Amino acid sequence: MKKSILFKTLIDIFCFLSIVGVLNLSISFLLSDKGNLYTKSGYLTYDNWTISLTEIVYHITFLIAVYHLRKAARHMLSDKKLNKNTNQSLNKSGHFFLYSGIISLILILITFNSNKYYGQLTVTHDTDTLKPLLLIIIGLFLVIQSNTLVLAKKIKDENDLTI
Amino acid sequence: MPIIINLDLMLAKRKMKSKDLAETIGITTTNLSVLKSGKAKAIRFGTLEAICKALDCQPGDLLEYKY
Repeated sequence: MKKSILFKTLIDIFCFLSIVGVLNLSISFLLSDKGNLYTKSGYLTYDNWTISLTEIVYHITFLIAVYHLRKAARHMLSDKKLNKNTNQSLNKSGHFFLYSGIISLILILITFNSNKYYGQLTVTHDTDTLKPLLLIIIGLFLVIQSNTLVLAKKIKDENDLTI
Repeated sequence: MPIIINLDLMLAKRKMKSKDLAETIGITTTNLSVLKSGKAKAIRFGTLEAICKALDCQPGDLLEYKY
């Protein structure tokens, strides 16, 4: 039980910090000088727009994943751990982590492409390739875990109805 | 499920109450009710043996397969 409480607390802190981080990033982006987004001729480049939009989609997807993980953690604190809501939240969280990992990977590819052709990157992104891989692994693990929970629930129900 | 449990019929034949049978075989009335209503997913050989012993019948008298 102590581990569950610690897990829930850490998820809450992580969720709060993620929201603060994304808000901070959004405000900084809105208030910052957007000269970097434009070319010398004054037009927004296709790559910069793509990177910005993908970055926004990535952060939104990541936040949704963390939100569902928080919901799952909340359900895990209750006595009925093998309920439908826990499975659904874990499954959704896993899928969104998977999507955010894939989007992050796409972002790296776009950044690489931009670097390759333009020589200079205007919107920066962490190009650590382990991050998307880790996100994909976590996402797949959560999806598998939720499927295992569904199976466990079926076995438990069958066991409960064995006289 | 095509397996039908004729426990009610056997209880009526033996003129025994569900509560008495539950006490004799050592299961709760709730579990016996689950068994009677056909909601049970499985039955242990031990339980079947105890029911057969208490009602003096064969497993075939209790279980029936319907197409």
